[in-house]
Amino acid sequence: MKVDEMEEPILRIRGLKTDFYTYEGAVKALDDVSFDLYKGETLGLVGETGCGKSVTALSIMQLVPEPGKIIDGKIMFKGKNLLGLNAEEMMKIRGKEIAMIFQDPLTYINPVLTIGDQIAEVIMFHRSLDRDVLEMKTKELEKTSQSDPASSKVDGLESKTERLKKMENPPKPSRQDLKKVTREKTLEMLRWVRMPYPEKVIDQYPHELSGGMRQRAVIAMALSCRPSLIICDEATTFLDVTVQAQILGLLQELKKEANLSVMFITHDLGIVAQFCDHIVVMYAGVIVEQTDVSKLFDNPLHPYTSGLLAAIPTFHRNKGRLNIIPGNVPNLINPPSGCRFHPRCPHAKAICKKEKPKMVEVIPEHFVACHIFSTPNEWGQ
Amino acid sequence: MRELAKSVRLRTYVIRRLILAIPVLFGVSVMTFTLSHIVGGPIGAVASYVQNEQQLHNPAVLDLLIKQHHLDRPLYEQYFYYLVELINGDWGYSRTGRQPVLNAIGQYFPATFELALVTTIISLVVGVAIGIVSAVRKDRPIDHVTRVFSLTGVSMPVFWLGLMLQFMFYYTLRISGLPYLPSSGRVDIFVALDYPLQTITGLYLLDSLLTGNLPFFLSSLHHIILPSLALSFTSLAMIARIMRSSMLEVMRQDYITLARSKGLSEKVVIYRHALRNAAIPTVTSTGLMFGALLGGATLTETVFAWPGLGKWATAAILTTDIATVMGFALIVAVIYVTVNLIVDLVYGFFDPRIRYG
Amino acid sequence: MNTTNIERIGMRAEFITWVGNITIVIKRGLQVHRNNHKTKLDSYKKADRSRHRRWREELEPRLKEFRYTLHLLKRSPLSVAGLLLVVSIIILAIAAPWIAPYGPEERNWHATKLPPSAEHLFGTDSMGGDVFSRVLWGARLDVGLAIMVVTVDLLAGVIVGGISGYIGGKWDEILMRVTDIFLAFPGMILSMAVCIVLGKSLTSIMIGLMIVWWPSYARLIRGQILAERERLYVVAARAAGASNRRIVFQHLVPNSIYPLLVAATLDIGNVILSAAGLSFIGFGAQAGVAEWGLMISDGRAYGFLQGSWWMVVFPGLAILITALAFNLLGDGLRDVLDPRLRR
Repeated sequence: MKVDEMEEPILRIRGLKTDFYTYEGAVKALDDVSFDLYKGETLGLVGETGCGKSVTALSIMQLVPEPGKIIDGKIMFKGKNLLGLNAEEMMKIRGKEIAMIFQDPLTYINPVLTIGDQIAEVIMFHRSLDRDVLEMKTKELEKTSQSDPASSKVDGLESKTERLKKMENPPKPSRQDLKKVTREKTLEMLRWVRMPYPEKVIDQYPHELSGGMRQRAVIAMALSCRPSLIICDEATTFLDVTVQAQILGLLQELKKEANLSVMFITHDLGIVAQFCDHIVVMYAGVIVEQTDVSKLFDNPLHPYTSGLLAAIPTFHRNKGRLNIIPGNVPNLINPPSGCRFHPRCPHAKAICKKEKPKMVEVIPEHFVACHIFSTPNEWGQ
Repeated sequence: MRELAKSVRLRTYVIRRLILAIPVLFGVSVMTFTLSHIVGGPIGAVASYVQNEQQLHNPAVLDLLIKQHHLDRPLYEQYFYYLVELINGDWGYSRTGRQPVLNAIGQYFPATFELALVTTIISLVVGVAIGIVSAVRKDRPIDHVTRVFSLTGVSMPVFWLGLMLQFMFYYTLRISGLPYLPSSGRVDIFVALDYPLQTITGLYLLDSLLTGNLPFFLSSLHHIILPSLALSFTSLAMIARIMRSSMLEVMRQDYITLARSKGLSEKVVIYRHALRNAAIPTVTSTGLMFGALLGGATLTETVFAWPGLGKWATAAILTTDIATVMGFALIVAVIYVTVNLIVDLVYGFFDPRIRYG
Repeated sequence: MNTTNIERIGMRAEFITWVGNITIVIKRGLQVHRNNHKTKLDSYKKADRSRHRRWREELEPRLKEFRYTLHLLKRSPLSVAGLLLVVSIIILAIAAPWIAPYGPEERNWHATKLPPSAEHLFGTDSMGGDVFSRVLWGARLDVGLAIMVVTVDLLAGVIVGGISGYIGGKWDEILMRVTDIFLAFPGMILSMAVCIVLGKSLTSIMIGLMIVWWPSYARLIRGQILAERERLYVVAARAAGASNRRIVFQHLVPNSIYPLLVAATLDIGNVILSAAGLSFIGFGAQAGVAEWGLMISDGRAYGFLQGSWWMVVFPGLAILITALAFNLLGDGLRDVLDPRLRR
């Protein structure tokens, strides 16, 4: 068990259950979802559209829209259970500790505010900029002393800067100063995400930017307070392939520079292979397999995963029909009993209809939830 | 290159709107022309220029007027001269106002404007607040209460509400010997005599404040309360409804989810993100509403004997004073078109997507 | 009046097919029923069962939507209230001859200006007429007038707007300018002018109001058709060879018609307000007729501000409640049928 050897994971989810209460019935969107995310690693959450990946992300952020509700489970972030926090405390976590990037930069940015404003508000809301204002003033003083040594402000400069640096409780900065500092920080952020022409973009409106630039702006908004964890919900799905590559490359670099942990949600296995360290495969609201990237692609254990990988079209082999997984994604108001995949599974047995398979460590660090591998070494707790 | 395209797009947008307005004004003038011939009664369109009863029955004067205003020519020529007169400022003579129509408009317009302005301000402030509260607390008791309130406002017969207010705040208070609100007019006649007003804009409240004429100000305030309350009830309800529905629409948008994921407080999300987007349709509707109010709060002015355009026109129509009526129609159409244009421009100002193409 | 016009014009309407569905449900049901009767003579059981099954399959989603609509309606207490009120008012109006204790123009010169009592529930007016009865009788006039105006205008608007929207081009521009002109012209003045030409009466204001209100319907349906015209299902129908007439009546109209229904319901209330307002000023019903606006005007002239409040309050309440009922119903319908608020 890896848990004993390494430190505590930065995010630990256990038994997450989320339902949506609609007119037709309760949609059991997430059923007993459990996985870990360790510091500094990129976790890929993979699955078809509608399998519950976004709902998982929203559940972590506690932004599940009506009529959804988180019914059960624990989400431990840095040791604290997020589901036990009240609204105010959760607000402090969002944006500051955990940030989220969404899929469609066009609809996910406010069209009537400038890019600069939207980044600045995150900074102003979460960070206390008193120290930064102080630093700015000190720098200004030093600049005046260098450029204009005869100015009256220079008198007693040494003592002034010493005093400023030593101040424990900096005075409350004026609005103007705050604005200047925030603007500086915003420009810094824009440069950090490699935005072209940051001085222009900061005052532009979202509709004036291209898709890739918008997504960079969203990334800037997310990272402006140096969160520890960032969740990317299909962040590149709506972009062109070339832009996709750019953004992914950017995310890689930023991850290293800021020492982030990333949860990357996607349905594109190619991206996962390139970008992620660890994969969690979801199907119809349950986790079916979790392991490292290389182990998954070399040796997919769960029938669903092997079906997915077999369905990838290849040009140099198999000139016949494309392989598919027969059947359809189930209606989650009445999900299949037992294992949710059993109606489509080529290896389904009698027990699959009756019992939900438990997540089991079949090979070291390779966990599957399937009755084929009902052996000891149970995963979890 | 993109900059050039952007500014050109904005300019063409504005010019196009202006051009579309002109045929509408033309069309209205055709209607007024036609109606003044039809409704003029036995003597026809010359009634627009007749100044009093005696002239009406004096054939010599009538003949003179007909020749003067080219009413003996064929119809299409008459229309041409009619247009020329309109542009030159001769809109006929208002028997009800005892002055040329344009002068009468100049006299009565400020009263209507003042009433419309005060009403719009009240409606905007209260309506927006109600709309926001109603949207944020959707389906809770307060939402149902405000919705019924709004619906009542839209269903309210304005003239009846005015009468009710008069009864409550004038009659009942007066009977009980308490201080009461006046039921008619813009200002107390005795106050107007003792403290005459220096007219600058024609808006009593503004002018009296600017010239430091406190008694006049108080009296005008006193007099404007009831009529503006009656009028604003309906407008307020409408603004609340529009605000509520656009807020609801905005709150469902994706960027609100992003704003929340940034960890911003609910207040910031509502007031900074949602409101700015929801305000756009509300502001434009308010502008249009203001234009409509300018066009004659006829019924309210009648009930409260408010000396504005609506009362003037109603009195005229009851005495078949066509010049007044048509003049009123024309000015209202002009106001309507102008307000529409301004609203379009304001919309462009608020929504940067329109501004920059 | 212009205020309500503007509200409707200012809002954009995007709605789904509800009446369209119902019409199709009924039509299809009748069709299949007819077919079933034909084949009952031959291979009875097998053909019947499969046809029934197909019919049920086709109908299921539509029935589901219909049931969902009812469910939503039931959930909104305001719409239920509106519906009940409207039904009650219409029943009262129709039943007036039987439930009103006095006739509409019955006078009793010995009992003028009496406050409400057991004998005269709402008191009497300046000519001794019973206010309660006159309010009931007035319902027939005002509500009936409003329904007439809205029906005629709906038809006229559908025709003009339908042509304008579907044919487009030159005709569209011309018709739109015409509606613009009508909308720019102050509605009250236009109705009043009509009344002067035709003589002041209730019929005149009805005609006047018809002339004033039709442009907004034309615009509404034109906007709807413009939006629907480019939808893929229309292109598909055209590609399959459907004639213009078929496209307009079988596809476009059912899909665009019910924001009109919502607007029509709301407008019945607004027309009642306008008609009462016109009568109040003196253009509508002439002296003596039991019409709400006129009753208020009389009440104001003969003693309102001297204390006889009942002559003004009760007719006004009648107007208010009636308009409110139709507005509640229309509002509820709008909320229920807007596809973005469903689910």
